[in-house]
Amino acid sequence: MSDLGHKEKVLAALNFEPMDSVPICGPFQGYWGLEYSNVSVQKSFDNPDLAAEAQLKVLEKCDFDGLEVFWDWQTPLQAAGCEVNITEVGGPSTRTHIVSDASSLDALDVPDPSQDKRLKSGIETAAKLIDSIGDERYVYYDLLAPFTLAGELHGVEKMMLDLYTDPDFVNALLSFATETLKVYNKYLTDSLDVDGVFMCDPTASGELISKATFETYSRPYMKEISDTIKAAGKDVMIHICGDVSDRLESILEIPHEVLSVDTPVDLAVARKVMGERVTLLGNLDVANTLFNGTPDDVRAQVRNRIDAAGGVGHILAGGCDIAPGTPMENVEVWKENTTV
Amino acid sequence: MTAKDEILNGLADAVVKGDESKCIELANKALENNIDAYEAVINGCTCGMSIVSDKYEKREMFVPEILMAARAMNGAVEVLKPHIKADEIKETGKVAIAVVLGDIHDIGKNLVKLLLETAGLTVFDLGKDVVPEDILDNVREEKTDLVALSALMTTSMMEMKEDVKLLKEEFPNVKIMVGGAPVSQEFCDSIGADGYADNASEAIRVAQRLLAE
Repeated sequence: MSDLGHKEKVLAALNFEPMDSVPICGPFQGYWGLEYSNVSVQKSFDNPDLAAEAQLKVLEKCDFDGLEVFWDWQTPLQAAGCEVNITEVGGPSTRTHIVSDASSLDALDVPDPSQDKRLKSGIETAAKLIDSIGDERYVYYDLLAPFTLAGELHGVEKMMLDLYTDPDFVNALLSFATETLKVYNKYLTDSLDVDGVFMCDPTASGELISKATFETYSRPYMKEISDTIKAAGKDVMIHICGDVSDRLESILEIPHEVLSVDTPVDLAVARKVMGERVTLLGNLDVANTLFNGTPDDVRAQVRNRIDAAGGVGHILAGGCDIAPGTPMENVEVWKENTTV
Repeated sequence: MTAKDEILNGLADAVVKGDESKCIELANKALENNIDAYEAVINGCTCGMSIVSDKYEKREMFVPEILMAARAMNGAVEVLKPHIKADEIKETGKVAIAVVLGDIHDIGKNLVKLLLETAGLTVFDLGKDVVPEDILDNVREEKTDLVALSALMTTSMMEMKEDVKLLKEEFPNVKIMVGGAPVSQEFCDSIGADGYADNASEAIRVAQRLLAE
């Protein structure tokens, strides 16, 4: 089995085939890769060649089996009219929330992806990467999930209160977010020959909302996006932040192939619940171990994670984004330690 | 149960349930029954919020439920506040709270702020993405006892380190506590902060411990 190619290794993990060594990916290495090559975020928008080269440089060092080829996962927000902060390093953040109430929601049109400049640049970068490594590596893009998009459009805390005070409005907001993401995912899957699509729902974090809230307000809308991604023939990958141990069964109701879990989730527990229904991705501690630890700390944790997941149906990765500034030696060491 | 106990327990319960109108109704009832307004806040509302805080720690309540509880509590406090006698308010400590520069994630900070206020502390909310000068100015001008710093992004942890360094240089006696998803006890120790809390409930205990030192 050890002579499997990179993409084949990921596919073997997706199919729960026994493996000598587990495949690896960021899963979210994009912004770290830019920072590593001193490419500012604005520069990455302006110069897709530079953005793609930065990722190839990381790939050369880390030899990931799968690669995030498009990482501007919040681009629909600016396209919808929110003002954003674009910093030198790391993803843009939302400065103004465009939907203040039901009437501003009514007035809002689903943004047209063909007019989204950031998206255009991101697609150009991704196309270059796919052209260069797409045959040999498993490639994916990421985009927000509806609950997270809705929260950014309206303001997360306001939406959290509205779950109780104005659930009809929240459902309308979520429907708008879902429609937007269907259009975006359709456009992206039409434009890019990726293997998988990541739906990221940090605002549905296990630290922020209950299982019941997740089931009512996040899951049904994620299911709709899952259908869109599946209809395009792509694998569905889900990332939810925080401790989701209490709702793993519940997440299973969303058709998906890969679940990326954050560090608080015990992979052994997740494996037990998920069985061979979903491939687990994760979950090295991106802060304490990757960002602040030493290569020895990383080696020990890699061992721990591979043992916990059981060596089958597992892709070794960070529990969340690899933070810009993370030392290269803490990531390039993964590949030598993936033996099951 | 006396009528007074019934009202105070009812207030606590209405806070936990996030029932704003019930809170307002019971606050008015407390005043009608000549219950001391300060006692109604402390033994009614605050008591409710500390139950909320426990339930959050046990993962029985989450952010939406806590925000509803806070809203309900504020409804009662609005009614009671004008009736609180100034000499009853105990000065228990001044805390400045901020999300460090480069980080705009303030849900955790807002929860801690809420619970600190509920615990009777004076809280200066410096906001998110806060430049170090604003924190130093606050400590200088307000003689703040404790600074609570939050970071959600791994990259912001370096800003936190810088803030701690600047604060300790200028104000060796000010206590500093840190928190946020990527932050750990080890990191807290490594940057020379005085306390770390894993969650908002724990943060209140850490703040009270540091203020008592």
